[in-house]
Amino acid sequence: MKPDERTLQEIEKELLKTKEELNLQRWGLEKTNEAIKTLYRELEKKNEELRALDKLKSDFVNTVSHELRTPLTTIREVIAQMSEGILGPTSEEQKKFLAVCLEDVDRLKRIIDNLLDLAKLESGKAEFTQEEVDVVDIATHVIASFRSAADAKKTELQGRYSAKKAVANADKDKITQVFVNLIGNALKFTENGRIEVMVNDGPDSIECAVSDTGRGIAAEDLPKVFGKFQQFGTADGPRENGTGLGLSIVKYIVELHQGKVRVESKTGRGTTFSFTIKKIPRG
Amino acid sequence: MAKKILIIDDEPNIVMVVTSRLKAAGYEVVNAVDGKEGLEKAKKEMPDLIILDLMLPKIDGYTVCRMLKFDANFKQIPVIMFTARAQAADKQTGTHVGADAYITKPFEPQTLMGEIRRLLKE
Amino acid sequence: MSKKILIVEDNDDDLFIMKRYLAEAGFDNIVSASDAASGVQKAREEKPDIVISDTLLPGSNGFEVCAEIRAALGAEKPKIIITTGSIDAVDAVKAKKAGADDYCAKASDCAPLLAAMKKIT
Repeated sequence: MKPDERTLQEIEKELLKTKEELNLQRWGLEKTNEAIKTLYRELEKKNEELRALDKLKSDFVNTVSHELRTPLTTIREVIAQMSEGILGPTSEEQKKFLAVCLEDVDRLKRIIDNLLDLAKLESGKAEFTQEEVDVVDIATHVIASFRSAADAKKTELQGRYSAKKAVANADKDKITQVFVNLIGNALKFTENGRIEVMVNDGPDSIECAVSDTGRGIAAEDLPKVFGKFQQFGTADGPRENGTGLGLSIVKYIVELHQGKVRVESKTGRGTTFSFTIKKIPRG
Repeated sequence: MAKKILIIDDEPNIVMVVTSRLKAAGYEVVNAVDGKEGLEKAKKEMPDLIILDLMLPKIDGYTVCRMLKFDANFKQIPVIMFTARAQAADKQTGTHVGADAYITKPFEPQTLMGEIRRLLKE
Repeated sequence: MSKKILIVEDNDDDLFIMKRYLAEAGFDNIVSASDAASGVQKAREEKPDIVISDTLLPGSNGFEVCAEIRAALGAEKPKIIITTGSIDAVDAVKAKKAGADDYCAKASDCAPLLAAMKKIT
């Protein structure tokens, strides 16, 4: 073994350098430790804030729902009872006015329902249950519920299905609402016409459409159709009573199912709303 | 003999109008303004049916329902949950605590009276 | 006269928070820059007593800023503190080797920064 040729001074210098390096590393470790603790605490704070905000959203929707629906309940009951004669005899003339009043109370109820549905969807507080649903079955049921309204407007209401069943993983109540809103809309704008509800079963998604031969939507209004509170009147008719929210809700629900909603229309010829539901949505 | 219905709801206007309808239909009506009084009145009056609001002071509707349904003396009394709340999940929770029916406010009169008749086996 | 502080930070919210807590602690002479190049430039022009720099900056980083300021103005002044808001940029030794006097994580109440300031003033 060769003798160490370094001088004592050189060795001392090296040792000092190593000591400095060790000190630096130790300082580095302490600082890193502190930094990690600080960042962790910040993360916990953020989590708390998020939880509080979430609770605020839930509380808001529930409270507003309660505050709006409770007085409406009283109002509706008194009118209904007066109309039925429970609160004393009412003349035919009075009953006519009470009936009109009841209509508007129910209209208010639908607006509140729509607003709350939209509020829930927008704030991410809408519950979404996934189960196996038969879209053909849903369409059939909704058509049945609109049968008498369609007859009253002398409008044909038919379902056209590519198969007896079309099954997807979806939220049954929400898909029902989509059909209700689209068919209800079609009926509002169609008199003496035809409404067709189509369900086409595909390999990974189900294509649906609601087509009517009604008034149609002007080209310049088409892009705004899914916006909130949009209501369109045309030269031949006043605006129909509605909340202008039904289509926004349809768009939200379809997108919640990773689908897309489209509209095609020609004034005077009719309108077709179509949407897809993915069979097995991601996540 | 007239069937007795207990309404547990903290909104006096709601109690007033629902009582009016129930009495007109021939039922005897008693009421309570919060969950605690609700349980006491249930014991005292032994009603044939209970209409129970969800958002109640002192003890909430779900708890009242659960307590009634888990008590041998009261579990046979049909309970209708009566609520203005927004969530579909409430219906599930109602089923979990043993509610026999679920009516949302504002309600369709035929629906409420139909459920009452059904649960009283009339 | 209170010490002049230069903050090199590209996030407006973080800058706002730091300015507020520093002012509360008596440091109201503050200038700022939002990227590395103007940070070094401002250091040359304003000759601050203390520089506080974020680790992550557009196109560059706090360690570079620190090294360049040391090269331009020497090892004694300004005092440099490097702060980090991201767990990915936690590297205290790199900060020291770039010439920083201290290193800490960003917090919503600026407690670590104020503690570091106390040590060097």
